[in-house]
Amino acid sequence: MPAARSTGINGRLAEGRDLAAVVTISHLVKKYGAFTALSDVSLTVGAGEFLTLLGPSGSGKTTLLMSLAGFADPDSGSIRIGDREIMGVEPHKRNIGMVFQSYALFPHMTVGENVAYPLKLRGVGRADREDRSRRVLSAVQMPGYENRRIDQLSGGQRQRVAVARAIVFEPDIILMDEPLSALDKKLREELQIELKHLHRRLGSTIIYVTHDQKEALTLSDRIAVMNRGQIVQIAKPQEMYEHPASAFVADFIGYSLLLPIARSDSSSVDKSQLGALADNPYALLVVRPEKLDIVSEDHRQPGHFYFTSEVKDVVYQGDIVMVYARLKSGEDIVVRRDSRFATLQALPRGGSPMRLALHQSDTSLVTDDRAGVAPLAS
Amino acid sequence: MRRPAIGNLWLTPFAILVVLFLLAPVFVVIPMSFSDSNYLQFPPQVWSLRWYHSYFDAAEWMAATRTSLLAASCTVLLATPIGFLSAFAIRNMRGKAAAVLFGFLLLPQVVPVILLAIGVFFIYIRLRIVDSFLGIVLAHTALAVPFVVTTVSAGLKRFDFSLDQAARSLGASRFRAIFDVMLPQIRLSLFAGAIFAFVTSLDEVVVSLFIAGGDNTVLTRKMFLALRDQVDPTIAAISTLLIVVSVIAVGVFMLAVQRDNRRREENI
Ligand SMILES: Nc1ncnc2c1ncn2[C@@H]1O[C@H](COP(=O)(O)OP(=O)(O)OP(=O)(O)O)[C@@H](O)[C@H]1O
Ligand SMILES: [Mg+2]
Repeated sequence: MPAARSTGINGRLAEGRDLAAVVTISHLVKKYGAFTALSDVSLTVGAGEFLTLLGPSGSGKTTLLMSLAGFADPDSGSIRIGDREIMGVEPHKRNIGMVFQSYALFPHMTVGENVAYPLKLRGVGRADREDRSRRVLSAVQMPGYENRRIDQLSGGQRQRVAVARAIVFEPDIILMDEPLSALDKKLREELQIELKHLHRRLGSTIIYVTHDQKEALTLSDRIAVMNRGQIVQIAKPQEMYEHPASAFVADFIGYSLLLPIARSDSSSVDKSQLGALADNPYALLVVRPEKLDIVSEDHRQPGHFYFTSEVKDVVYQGDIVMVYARLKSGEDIVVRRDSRFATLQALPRGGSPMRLALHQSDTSLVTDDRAGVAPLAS
Repeated sequence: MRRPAIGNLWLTPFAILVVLFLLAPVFVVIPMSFSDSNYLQFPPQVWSLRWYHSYFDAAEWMAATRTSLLAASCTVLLATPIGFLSAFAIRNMRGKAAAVLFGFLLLPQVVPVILLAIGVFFIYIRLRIVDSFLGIVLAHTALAVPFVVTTVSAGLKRFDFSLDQAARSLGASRFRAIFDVMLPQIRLSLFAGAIFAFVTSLDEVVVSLFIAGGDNTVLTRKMFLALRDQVDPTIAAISTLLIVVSVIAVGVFMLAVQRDNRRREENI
């Protein structure tokens, strides 16, 4: 064992030492009978990276995580942590920390016993065990809870204890399957920030599963979007949101309208920057409501797509205002504005014409892969 | 406790009738065992403990009792792990295979017991284990396993298997995870299964009539023979004792359940 590891998690908590492992998944296939849950998934997670698997229900996120943890047995492919191949290795020999959606805390053990359990299994002495549990519990904002029973804890506290138990034995990587989904929104957002800080302090490699695209955008270094057992795009959050590689991703992350490019006036746009799809008549333009500008009739600047529409409805929502309109060609379009006084004053009324501008840096072109068409190669 | 709704009040006398009907034999047997009469008499004219003396002073009765208790204990030791492991396997199987295995394990309690007894008898003749202690324990285990499988399966249904996965991800081998996490969670079901197994063996008479004679005569068989040869009131005393043992077994179990519930409530 390298010398640096002996400083342990407490050393890491104190110094932010980066001792995390790289995870290399190649050509992973998992079938349940005739159903393919993972079809040729390849993915490299960097040392200390926070990677989120995001995708609709049934897309294979849990299956991928369980394959890493050793509870699903892939049919073929390889998984390496650092340079150790772990396919076929029993779960308890993988040294992976895992946080479950249901927390999976042991009800017949106290908080302290839960957290110390992995240390006990590793033959750590009693005094050392208690010392390390105590420190890790402080790190997750649960100091002094050692003697509580699990059923005396709130959901948020259970979640923290589950995290403490998963990190106390210094696993090579940490897996989390929707760890916050059982909590209410406010607590969830609080814990997201805590997790983010904890990740920074530990510097561990974390693979995280969520349904919640906002959570993914908030927490991740990179996001891998999955659909039907495949990874359809891997990118940093901003890249993912601003430049989705396919209609599926554009639709899944954030709200977007997908309009055939021919519905817009694209005469001012520099087509050379639009990529391979610029001349494809079936290409779809990703239109996000907050990226649209309401402009005057004579507005014409290079780099903009323009749309002509008629306002249907203006809906005030407190922090924002949504303007619903219809294009000449019949499609509905939505514009999102802030709710400052000046903005509200300038908004068009229902029934009046509205010209919209969309800068080409604020959009991308995608092909329609939603109806089973193969995803766009990126 | 919730009070019954007014509309359900007629249920109470009905329930009492049912209980009385079920307990009637017990109310007959217990007084009879304290009779001084030379034959089974109800209600007894003169009270005495002579049939208890007759039981405890007879070496033959004591030997049969020892065999019965030993067989029941060995049945518990065999049937409980077998039943647990079967229930565990069934829980981990998918689809039809699980249902088939479950049904298969229940067979000894589904097949008419007289058929089972004849079958076992003929097999035991081949194996030369008629009237052997091993033979008794094996047959009783087969009869007890269905109860253990049923109770443990019910317990496992409530067990959250992510606890098992959590233990293993934290470094526990499969075996260790079962001991550290699963068994503490399902211990009441296991306990119930063990008690069922014990009582099943202690109570069993039909199969024992065929295969549990000679030096290894069990209590129930001896009682049956005693009834056939001459109506010996000793069996009323023994029946009373068996009832006491069963009541104690069930009582211990109820206490365990209650303690468990109380602990759970205290922690809410
Ligand atoms: N043990 C199993 N047997 C058969 N099919 C399974 C099994 N486990 C998962 N599947 C199937 O594999 C697919 C992927 O499941 P998985 O649990 O990985 O999805 P997920 O992305 O985690 O979904 P969710 O967001 O709902 O948790 C699903 O269609 C599911 O029905
Ligand atoms: Mg899942």
